[in-house]
Order: sequence, then C-alpha cells, then structure tokens
Amino acid sequence: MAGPSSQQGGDRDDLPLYLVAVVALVIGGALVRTFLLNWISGPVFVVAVVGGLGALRDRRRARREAASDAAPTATTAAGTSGVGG
Amino acid sequence: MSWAAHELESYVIQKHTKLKISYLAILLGCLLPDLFTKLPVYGLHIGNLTFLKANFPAKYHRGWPGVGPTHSLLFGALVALTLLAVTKNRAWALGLLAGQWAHVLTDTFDSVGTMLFFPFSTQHYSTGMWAYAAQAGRYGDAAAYYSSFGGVWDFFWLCMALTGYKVFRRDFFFGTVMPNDPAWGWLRRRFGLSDRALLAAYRAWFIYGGSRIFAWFLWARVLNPARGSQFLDWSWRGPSWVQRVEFPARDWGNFAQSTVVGLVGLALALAVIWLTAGRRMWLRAG
Repeated sequence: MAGPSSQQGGDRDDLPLYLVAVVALVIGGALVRTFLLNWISGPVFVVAVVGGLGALRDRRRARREAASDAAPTATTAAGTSGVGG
Repeated sequence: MSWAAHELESYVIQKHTKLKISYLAILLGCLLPDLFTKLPVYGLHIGNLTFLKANFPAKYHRGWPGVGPTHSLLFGALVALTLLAVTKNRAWALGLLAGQWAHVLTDTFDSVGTMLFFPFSTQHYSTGMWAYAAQAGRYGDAAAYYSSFGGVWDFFWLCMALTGYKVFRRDFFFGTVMPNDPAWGWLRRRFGLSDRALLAAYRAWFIYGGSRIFAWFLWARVLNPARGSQFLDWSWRGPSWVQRVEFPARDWGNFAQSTVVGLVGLALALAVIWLTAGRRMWLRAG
C-alpha cells in the first residue's frame, strides 16, 4: 500500500497555504476571470501555491533550525570561559 | 449547465461509494461531456473577432444534430467499456461511468436538460430550475448562472462535498485514494511531486471548484459592468432577464412515449453490451 514518504505538510500545518490559494483564486479569479478560472489553470494554480509556498516555508524553517542549532555552541563557549576566570 | 458542480460531484461520489473506484476517473467522467465540446458553445475570441461559434449553442451542445449525445447515459457506458477494454482496470471504468452519469443527471437541472436516452429518444429531460444561457457568451452565461438558482446549485454541491470532509484528509488520500489508482504513483514519479504537492493535486479541483463559485459571484454582483440590468433573481426558471432556451416535448403523450421507448431501449442496450462484451472484460480486468 502506498503511503506518505515523509511527514512533511500535515493537514493543519498546510491549512494557511490552502487559505492563501482560496483567497488568491477568489479575488484573482474575479479580476482576471477565464485566465485563472478554468479547469486547467485553476487546479494547477492551487498545486503551485500549496506546493511552492510549502517548499519555501520548509526551506526557511530548516535554515532557522540550522541557525539556532549553531547558536548554543557559541553561547556555551563564552559562558564556560567566564566561569573559569 | 452546471459550473462548479461538475468539479465537486467527484468528491461526493467518492464519499458515497463502497466500491474500489478511481477518483481521477470519476473526475474525468465528470468533465468528459464538456471536455471537447464546449469551445463552439462560447466560440473562440481573439480581439474583436469570434471564431468557431455554433449558430445555435444550446442545440449544438445538448441536442441532435450536435454533440448532445455526449450528455447521454449510453455514451458514458460505451466510453467506460472502452476504457475497461484498454486499461483492464475496473476502478477506472467504474469511476468514469459514475462521473459521466453524474454530469448528465446534474445538467438536467437547467432549462435545456439532456437527452438521457439518446439514441433511443431525442427527448430532453429538464427540471428547468435555471435558464440555460450559454448563447449569451461566457460572461453572459456566468452572470446568469451566478445570479440565479444555478449559483445556489453550485453552493449546494459545495456543502455536499463538505459534509464528506473525511475524503479530503491526508490519511484518506494516502490510505484509500492512492492505493486504488496506480496513476497517482505515476504522477509522483513522472513529475517528482512531493507528498504535499500530490495531496494538493487531489484536493485541487475542490479548492478550484469551491473558489470559483465565489469568484464568479463576486464578479457578477460587484464588478460586472451590466450588474444593474443583470440583477440577482432566485426565482425558479430564472433569471428573468436572460433569453430562456428550452426543448419541451410536443405534449405529455409524446413525452411519455419517448420516455418508455428511451428507457426500454437503454435497458436493452446495456444488457446486450454487458452480455456480449462487458461481462467478459470485467472478469478479465483487475
């Protein structure tokens, strides 16, 4: 049985991405109409927004986590030298 | 015709069937009758020029002579049988049949309706809930549909789809939808889709279908330059400001006769198709 290959993008986690897609489709659709509101562009737009923004968000999170992992090491080194002196 | 309803039906069908059935095939079936037939209904517009527009869009789209047979029950059965023969996949054949029949039946709610029993009868079946208005062009049609019971119809299907919200969950997709259809695995490999993108692709027609109800309503009621004369009219058979197109029967006797002939003809045709080819193909398929 096929299953998710990773835990990325849980339902709640990705809800804001879907909301962005909905708002963009409703407002953008009312303005540009057929260009966006057709059975090809519309769904492709949804996948692009959710998939693209989701990937961007994951990358930013990974960079933030990598940065915060590096930071305690610098703090620890400064603290240790203070204690010893 | 129904607008967003055709995108949303697929999720409702999915929720209510216990059979192994392909969501992608249901979606394809829901879109099939209009897939290659809609262009001449509105025409192709380049600048101020219009090409390929049918002289009588309603007759072309739903009638005969025209492409009206794509909106008949027998057409769906024949396409599903062909799909079964080619793919040897029962989930796909069943899905396409369910989707196409859903489209044909929901299109009976506008004033033109569909020839359910073509070729045994060219009688149009219609409840006339809202006026068919494709002859007014895409924007006229949108204004009419989303100013009438047509828009309410779409909203009804949105609510129906939402009552089955479990079919949108990640565990339902990866546990039920994807295993029922090898096409998802192919899509993942072919386009390198992540889980998130694959799940978004499954949900995409719901998001698009639901959003376009509000987008077109917003346009019709707020941005449409003709909104003053193209007012909101939720009366049965409305809106009153559009030219109404219908194909009524000559009289009740004619209607009854056509219906009996159509029903018997369709039942016999389906029985013959099943006994001569369908059953063998079904047993050979997986």
